[in-house]
Amino acid sequence: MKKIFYCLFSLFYALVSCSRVAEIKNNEKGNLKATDKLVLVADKKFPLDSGSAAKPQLIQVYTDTAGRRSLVCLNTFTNSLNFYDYETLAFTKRVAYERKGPDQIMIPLGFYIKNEDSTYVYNDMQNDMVLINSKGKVLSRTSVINNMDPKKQVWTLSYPQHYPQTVTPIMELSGKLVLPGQFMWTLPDTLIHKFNFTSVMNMHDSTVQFVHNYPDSLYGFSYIWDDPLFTMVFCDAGPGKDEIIYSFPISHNLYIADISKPGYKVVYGGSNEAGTISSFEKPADGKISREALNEKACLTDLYGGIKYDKYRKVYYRFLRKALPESGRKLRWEDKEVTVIIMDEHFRYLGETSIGTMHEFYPENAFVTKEGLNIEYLDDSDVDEKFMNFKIFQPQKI
Amino acid sequence: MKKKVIGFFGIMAFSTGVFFATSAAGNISDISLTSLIGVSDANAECQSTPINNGRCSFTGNCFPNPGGPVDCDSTKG
Repeated sequence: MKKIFYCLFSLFYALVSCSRVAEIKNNEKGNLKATDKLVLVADKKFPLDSGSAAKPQLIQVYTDTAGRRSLVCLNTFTNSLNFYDYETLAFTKRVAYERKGPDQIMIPLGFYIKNEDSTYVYNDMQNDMVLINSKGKVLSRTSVINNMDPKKQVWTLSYPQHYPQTVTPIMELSGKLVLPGQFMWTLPDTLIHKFNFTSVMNMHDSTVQFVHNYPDSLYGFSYIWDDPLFTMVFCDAGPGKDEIIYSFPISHNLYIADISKPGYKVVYGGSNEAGTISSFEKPADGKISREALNEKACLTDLYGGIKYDKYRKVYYRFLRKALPESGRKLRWEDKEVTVIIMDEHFRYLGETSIGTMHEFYPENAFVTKEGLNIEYLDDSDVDEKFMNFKIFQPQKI
Repeated sequence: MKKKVIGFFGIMAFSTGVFFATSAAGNISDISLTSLIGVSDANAECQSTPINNGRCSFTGNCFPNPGGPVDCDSTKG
């Protein structure tokens, strides 16, 4: 009798102590018909000086009042913004930020140029949004962690961590600055409905609100994702007023939201080739090894950034395709980058593989009237003399 | 990437200098230089220091991880 009791107790304990595994299936796999493909139409090479490297943290194409377009890159090593003429490719100016004193910005990790005299810089040291003028004078500092002490990391359980990237930039929508963020690691189930990952700062009164939860079906039930690679929130502004489109790496769907309201409209936005995406099983020792993480990252189809092209009324969504299980050493950079094209109603138009992540850096992607710009990593440029972009456009097959 | 690596080692040299200049330096005689300036095994771009308070991500960024395992210094990026 005792044995039966212990067996039943062990079974019950095993059942309740095991976290569930998410199995996110792609119901449209193999059913989608392509009508369009992405074609290379141009490239651009911007010269780099000795203090600048490829793969800058953040890029904004800024159009000034005279209509001149500048490619502006954040150089985190020199604490500065580098400006290039987007048309002529010439370097035009550098704006450096102080590292000490009243106008210091210790760790600039993102920026948004509103106009010639107003730039918002996200300072990762204090987790604040700094408004700075063209003379380098700080005009205001606004905490995006509700003035909690950044050194006491418990704030990360209440407020999003921000890691702005070009493909998921800081955006201005209806006088509000939208700063996408995320929960970096496995989200505790107790936080699934409490934790909001996007910070929205009112540019008039500097109040900050936090909106939008992770969907339960993807990140609830204590599903183990365990790395920012899986919990990253990619997004872009949609064509509608205050509309934001979210792309989670692990979902074949897209989530359409309003920056001033909770909730989503969910639409399919997946690949014709992507397979099932599953979370980690709970390891016996409670710790996901680096090997297991690398294997999951490489052998899983993972979606990336979403970009809306207002010139062509299409969406582009990146996919880092799963590597085949070939027994060879798995390297993240060997994954192919595919761009899925959808029309303005998220209807599938096609998808095109553009190369591996040795060649392309999809975190640095943005749309101009010329097309979809994606940073290209030129292996032959050993001295890193240039920052390269390939520009693509959709075309009928 | 090479410039980034050079920049990274520049920052490492700077931060090591700053660390030795602080009063804390007197308490670390049992910590080897290798461990002090060591790069996390997890990724070449995460930096491990005696005040590790973050966790190294797959892509090599160190993010706070309160209550969880730590292997890098999140103040170093």
